[in-house]
Amino acid sequence: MRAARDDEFEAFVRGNRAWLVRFAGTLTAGDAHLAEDLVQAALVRVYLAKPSRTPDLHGYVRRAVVNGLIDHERRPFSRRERSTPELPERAAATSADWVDPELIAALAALPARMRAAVVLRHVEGLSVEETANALGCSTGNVKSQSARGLDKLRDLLSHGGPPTATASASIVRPSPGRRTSASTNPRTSGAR
Amino acid sequence: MPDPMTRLAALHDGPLAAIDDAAIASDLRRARDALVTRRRRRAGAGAAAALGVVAVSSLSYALASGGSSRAPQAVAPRTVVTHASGKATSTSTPAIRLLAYRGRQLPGYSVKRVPEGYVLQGISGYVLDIAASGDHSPLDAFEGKLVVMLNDFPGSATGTPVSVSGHPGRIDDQDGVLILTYSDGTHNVEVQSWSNIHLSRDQLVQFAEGVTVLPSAQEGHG
Repeated sequence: MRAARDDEFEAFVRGNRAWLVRFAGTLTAGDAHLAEDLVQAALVRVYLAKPSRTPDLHGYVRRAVVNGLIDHERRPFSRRERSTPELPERAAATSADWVDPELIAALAALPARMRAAVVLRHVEGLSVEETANALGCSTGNVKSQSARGLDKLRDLLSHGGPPTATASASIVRPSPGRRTSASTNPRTSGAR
Repeated sequence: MPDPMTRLAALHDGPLAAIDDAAIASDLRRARDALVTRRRRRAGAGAAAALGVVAVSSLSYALASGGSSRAPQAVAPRTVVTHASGKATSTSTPAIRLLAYRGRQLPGYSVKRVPEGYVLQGISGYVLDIAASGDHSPLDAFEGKLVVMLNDFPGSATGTPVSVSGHPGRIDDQDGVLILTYSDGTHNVEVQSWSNIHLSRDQLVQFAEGVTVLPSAQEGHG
């Protein structure tokens, strides 16, 4: 028998998956595979949390995507990249698929939390408070991160875009070295 | 060249990808699988606890019978507390007592009281595990334990309202696991108490009131 939870979940997915994928795609600066992974993981969380029992479902799923990205950035590179015998379910988007590929490539040059603050504030249109809630940080931190992020974007775009910008989305991934540094990886730096 | 803010806002108006039924079906399948996995883990813990009850009851009966020719003597009802590890102890009602904790504390939390026979097993990332003494199960296995964690989202909107040191919270019974969520004024705290511990709701609140979240505690995400 089909559970009410299934119906609620399916209705939520049908109504929200498209913007979630676009949101995650912007957040990952055009990394379509990672964006899809984040959306899938966030939707599983929605199902487990029972859609009808979660008051702000949109906020919840948005937070799950953002936190998924930040957790992902903390992990060692070897755990992110794995070979599979089969092709992925969906083809990777290229930066050419975006309305502004130069801007997407510039976003990739920002650290994950700074990029998240910029995307939540200036793409999603969230207030400072809502962004702080989504990121789990103070409003002051949101203001400084988004202001610095905008400054950096201006600088990058005024100089013809980030040095790595090409037509391929694969180049927008942050370097693995940054993700494995002890300063950005508390869970692997003896914090346990 | 427009300002980055204008260009960022334009990203929001970009085209949305079409969502096909296959993608939705895949999402539903993944979600159901995750739910089954979670329930299976909990059911496994429940089965281990039930097995412990049967074993101890049988032992009680055998001891009462004494192997003599006399009719079995009545055995006084006892409440048996079992642990997922298979270790069992017996106490009188209430099922288990909360005792002052004098063992070593772990980074991130200060704990004043624990259920009798339980110790601070360890802390993994943002989760503090309190387990029966001798339980060497992995820290990411919560079955049979009292677990304290911090969330980056408010607690459940359902469940029985309670007060934890004056802060509002709720206790929700999810498949036999009591889940207390509350805010201590700074953090969103969640305490899971697995059914085999037999901690009452009042005791769960008492336990939570003895927990202090320290600045070094980490918050979980998602």
